[in-house]
Formats: sequence, C-alpha cells, structure tokens
Amino acid sequence: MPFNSLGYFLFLPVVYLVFYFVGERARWSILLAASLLFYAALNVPYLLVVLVLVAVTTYGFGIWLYQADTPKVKRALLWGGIGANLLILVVMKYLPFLSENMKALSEILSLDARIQPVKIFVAIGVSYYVFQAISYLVDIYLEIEKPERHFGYFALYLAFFPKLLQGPIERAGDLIPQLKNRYEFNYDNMRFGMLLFTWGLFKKVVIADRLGLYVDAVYNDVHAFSGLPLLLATYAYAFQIYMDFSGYTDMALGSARLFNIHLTQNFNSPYLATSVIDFWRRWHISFSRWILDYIFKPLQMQWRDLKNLGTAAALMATFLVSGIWHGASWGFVIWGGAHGLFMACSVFYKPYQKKLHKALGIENTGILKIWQVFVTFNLVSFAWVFFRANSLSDALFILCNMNGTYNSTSIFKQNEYPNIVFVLIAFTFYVLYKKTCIDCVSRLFMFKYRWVFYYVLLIVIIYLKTNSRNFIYFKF
Amino acid sequence: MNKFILNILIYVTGFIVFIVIPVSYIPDNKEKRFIYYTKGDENKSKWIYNILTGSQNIDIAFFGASYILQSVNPLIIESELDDKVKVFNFAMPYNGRDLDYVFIKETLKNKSPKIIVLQLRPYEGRTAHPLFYELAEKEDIYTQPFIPALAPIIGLDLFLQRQLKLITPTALLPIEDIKFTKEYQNSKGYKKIDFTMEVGLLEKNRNIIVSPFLPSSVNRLEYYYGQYYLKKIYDLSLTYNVKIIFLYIPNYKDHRLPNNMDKIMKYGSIMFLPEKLVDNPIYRSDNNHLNSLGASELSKYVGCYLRSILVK
Repeated sequence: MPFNSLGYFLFLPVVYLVFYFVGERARWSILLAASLLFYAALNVPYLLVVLVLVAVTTYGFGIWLYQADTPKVKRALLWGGIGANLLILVVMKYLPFLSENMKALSEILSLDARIQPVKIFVAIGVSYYVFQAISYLVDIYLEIEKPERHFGYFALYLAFFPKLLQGPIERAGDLIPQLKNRYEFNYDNMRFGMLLFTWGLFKKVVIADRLGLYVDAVYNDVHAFSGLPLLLATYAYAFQIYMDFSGYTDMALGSARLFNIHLTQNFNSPYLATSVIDFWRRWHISFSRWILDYIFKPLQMQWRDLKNLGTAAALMATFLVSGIWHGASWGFVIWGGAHGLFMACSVFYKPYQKKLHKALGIENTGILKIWQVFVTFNLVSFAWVFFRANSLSDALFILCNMNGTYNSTSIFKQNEYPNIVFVLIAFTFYVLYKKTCIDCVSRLFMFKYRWVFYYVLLIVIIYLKTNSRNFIYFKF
Repeated sequence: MNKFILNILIYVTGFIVFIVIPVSYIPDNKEKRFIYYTKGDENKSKWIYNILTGSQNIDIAFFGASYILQSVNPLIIESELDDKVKVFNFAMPYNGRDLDYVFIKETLKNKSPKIIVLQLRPYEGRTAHPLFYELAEKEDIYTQPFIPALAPIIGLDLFLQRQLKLITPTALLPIEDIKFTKEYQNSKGYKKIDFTMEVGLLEKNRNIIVSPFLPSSVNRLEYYYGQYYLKKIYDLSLTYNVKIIFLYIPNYKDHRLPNNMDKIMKYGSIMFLPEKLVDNPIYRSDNNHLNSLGASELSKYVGCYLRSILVK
C-alpha cells in the first residue's frame, strides 16, 4: 500500500477515525494493528515474520542489556543483539548477493564449490527496521535510553506505519514518548499534516514521476544514446530521486502529524550543499546521523591515533557500509565508495583549499558558494549514475559516453519537452526557496487566500500526475 | 474537531462545485482523446483511430487484452480466408471489457464489420481498464457501474485529468510514455513475441498461476463488471447486426471451462482451442501467452473456423 495509492487514501482516514474514537488506553493497539495491516497489505512473504522476529529479539536483548551487571556481559549482549539483527538482515536481503559473488569467486579460483543461487526473501523496509533496532540497543548500552518495558509501545516504535518503509529512522528517545502522549485533537496538526501530505504527493506524482519517464527511457536503453541525453538523464535522475524520496518523507511526516507525532525532517535543500560532507548533513538526515553516530564515530575513535588518515579511513568504511545498506549490488557499493572517497579526500585538501580561497580573495563570497554548489551537485550526480544504472557496465558506458557525440535525432521525442520544462520550473522554484518543506507549509498558513493555493495544488496534481510508480527508496 | 469537519466539507463542496462540475462540461474532442493520450506501454488508440477514420474496410475485428494481441496474426487469418476479407487485431494489454466496449462502439460507428471476436479468459476482469477514462465517451463514464469497481471514485481523477487535457493545446500536451523502442506490432495490430519459455519454468509456474475460481458469492460480484459491458456489446451487435464470437485462450495446460460459460453463450458462440495448442510448450512465451509460433498455429486454426462461419 504505497502512500500514493487509493488504498492508502482510504486507509489513513479510517485508521484516524478508529484511533480518534477509541479510548486513550487502546490507541497504541490501534496504531500497531494498523501498522501490521499496512505491511500485510504489501503482500510481501515473510515481511511480518521478520518484523515480529526483530521486535522480539531486540526487545529481549534491550532488557537483558539494561539488567546486565558487568561491562563484559553488557558488551556481549550488545554484540549478541546487533549480531542477531544483522543476521536477520543478511538472511532476508543479502543472501542472493553473497551467493552470487561466492559462486563467481569459486569459478574464478576454479574451486569445486557447488553454490546454488539463493532467492531474496524480503527487501522492502527491512534495512530501516533493523537500523532502528540496532540504534535502540546501542542507546541502551551507552545508557542514553532505558529499555521500553511495554512490548506494545516498543513494537509500535519499530513498526509505526508512516515511517517504516522509507524512514525517517527514528530514535527510541524521540518517538516512544510521543507515542505515549495523551492524544488530543489538534486542528493545526491536522491541517498541517494534510497539507504536508498533499505537498509530498505533488512532489512524487508530478515532479518525480514525470522526470522518471525520461530517466527510464534513457537508462533502460543506454546504448542507444550518447552525449547530451545521457548527461540530461543523469541530472534528471538526481532531481527525480530527491523529489521521490523527499516527497515520500513529506507524506510520512504528514501522516504521522495527524496522530500528533512529529517525525524527523529528513531533507534540507541537499542540492544547495557546498561540499559532499554538507550534502550528507542535508540528505536523508536521519540516516546520515545514524551512520555518523553508530559507525563513523566509533571507527574514528578506534583509529584516532592515525589522525587524518584514520578519519579518512573511517569515512570510507562508513560510506561503503552505507552503499551496502542501500542494496545488495556492486552499483550501490561503488556509489557509497565514491561518496566516501570524496569526503576522505576533502580531509586532506581542506586546509589547502581554505588557504587558496584566502589567497584568491574569494573567501565567503557568493561566487565561491555558487561554484561549490555546482561542483558538489556534479559530484553527487556522478555518483548517482552507479545508483541508478541497471548494471555496472551500463554505468561505465554512461560515464564514458556522457561527453560523446550526440547521436540521436532529437533529445526529446514528440511532446516530451513540456514534461521537462514544467519539471525544471517547478524544481528551480523549489530549490531556490531555501526553506524546508515544513517552513514552506507553516508560512502558507499565514497567507489569507491559502484556499486558492490548495485548489491550485490539487488541480496541478490531477492534471499532471502520471501513471503510478513505486517510490525509489521502497526497495531499501 | 467541528471546525475541522466543517472546513473539510466546505473544501469538498467547493471542489465539486468549482472544479468537478465545470470540468465535466468541457466539450468532447474524439481526435484528441484517441491520438494524444498515449498513456500505457502499448497504447494502440492512435493506430486504431487512424484505421477507423481511414478508407480501409474492416470485416473481422479482434478485441481483448495481451492474450489476443500476441496470439492473433490477422495476416495469417486473411491468407486462410478470401483475400478480400480484411481482418484487424484491436487488442490492447490489460483486461477490460469496458475498453473492448469503447473500441467496438467506435468500430461499429465508423465501419461495418461482419464479425467481432472477443477474447475470453477463464474468468472476467472485475476492474476498469486504466485507459477507459481516457478513451470512453463522457456518457459511458457516467454510466459505469459503481460496484464492485467503485469506478466513479477510483476514476474521478483520471476523468478530470482527461477533461483538462481536452482544452490543452496539443503542442503543450505532455505525453505519459516515451517510446524509444521500435514499432512492436505489424500493420494489422499483431504483436510478435519470438521468445519460448523453458518447459520446467512453465510447469513450475502452473501451480502458482492457476488459482481456483472464487466462491460463488464473490464470483457473482467479480463477474458483474464484465457482464455489464458484455451486455452492452451484445446490444450494440444487435443494433448493427454483427455476429459475436468468443475466442477462449486459457493458460498453459489449463483445461478448465470459462467461468459463467452459460451466461457468456447467450451473447455469442465460443471458439475453443485444440489441446495441442494449449498444452504444447513450444508455443508458449509464458504461461499466459503464446509466442509467434503458437500465434501462427492459432491464427491458422482461427482462420479455418471463421471460414466455416463465413461460408454459412
């Protein structure tokens, strides 16, 4: 049941009405039941089993961890809990990738290993679910949080339907207290949630999906193109994935807001970042905070004696994990590695870069900022090629032929240009307006004739929406 | 809460009064409907429109979904019949008796076919074809059955979208589907698929794909949507004096008779395929569809069948 489906448009109000009319003590159970129903509706085999397995394991380990007396036992329980979660993740999502590569390796080494290819069990949402479970255990280990004793609230924290499939990745300390708060109808939250949801829908079905038409046409048949179309499709994909993912996040935040729950804002104009490090402060914020806190920082501490080299190595390792987290393929690994490499290099050249800017007299100038935004955007777009391409060979073909001679009769076929022109106008407007979506929506409420905007937004969605497509980040 | 409900009601009322009603009064433009709405992977509406408004005669026309699209090669059927008999395959992917009705209605308004052949599957589809809202006349959309498809609600956005596109200049009409691929069909509307699926995979899929018929109570509902349009097609056939024949294309090794066969036979005779066509794996591109070899055999068989009818 994706957020942009009719099923969800009916599901959400029904859940809200039931939630509103039941007693305070039963509200958590309504949300939990709705979450399970939401996942069941996805019709993915094993998904519910995985959710229950992760919830029970993490709940148990959380309590044992808190009760453990000695640091040694605590550490063992922490690793036990993390190991159990990672095992579930690997079995459910990464076995096909591992078996494929093991098979290839055994063939290269001429080993007589009979490795059968394994079918993927569950791909949707499991990574988010497991990451939340791990952060919960680590926070208990570090005594940042106490374990949640009420299994219902704990399961709801993991499974709360608006945020599970594509995040945001919430910390227990942020979400569980909100789930326990007494619910009172809040007019502002209701209209804010509905408008944010509609805004996200617009970004998804109008902008992202329209860009997707062009991107798919080129990326699914890369050898038919050369030069400009490949470059344009790559830029288009950068915008598509942003609008797709941030659109989903807005819809998730909007849905949660109906229940007076504030989820983490996941994006902050990422393509206005002035460096790749800055990009990760603005893109998929809950995820980047997670990998920063639970992977980068421990590794950096571990390798602190190596100084800059240690930091660079920690960045590389962290973003390689980030790549693997996104999906079980070499394309994602290279995408993560590229981001790690960009940032690792910056650790070494940053001091010299600052000196150069000073010497040129362009420090803190607008021109420098524009240049940095331009370079960062291009580096990020270059990395997206590995993320989107159907295979590594396709990705390499695109990169090698992006500046080649243009070989098609026209860049756009038939009436395709209105799609692109419209999307560029909408996107430029959106990007240049530096505030986050929540700021935009909040400001709108001060506008006297906001009703006109609501109707215009609705008409634009109806008029320009395309055939329903799945969200890109659904598969993670 | 009361303020919120009131605002929602005002908003919905405003939406109906200021958007839905005025937009539904936008005048029709058939050419735009058929030519410029290219939504869907294999939308043939433009091609069909050109055939229907062109000078070619149509004697036999096939309607249905991908099963017909990939199975019926009119060129082979024509060679089995008298050369003067003109045959066309107007099938488009995705089941939908509603869209069959739209195309048949247009065909009968513009041409004078003697026979229309409709696809028949083990069970009827119970939802609207996604292109119905784009291509149907307004009156047909207004009279669409509510249950079980909940059609007016599901299709409202599609209907409004299509109406708004009617007043958009064609140069600015954004297309939904970009076809960089070559033409997939021959001049008569047949789609050729050369791929043959492995026997092992066909057998494995048989157990997954072949599901039992639904319980009778659900079955009645399921059948209702398709039956509604079958009845309308039948009424058209009486008005225009055209014969209806159903071509039953089951899945690989599926020997079940079509669901609700007695009701279907009221509207026309059913052409069943010989077992060698249904069961032979070399004719299959997948469990549901025939490949070009199977299509060739089926078209010869259908050609013979139609010849006997035309002779009568």
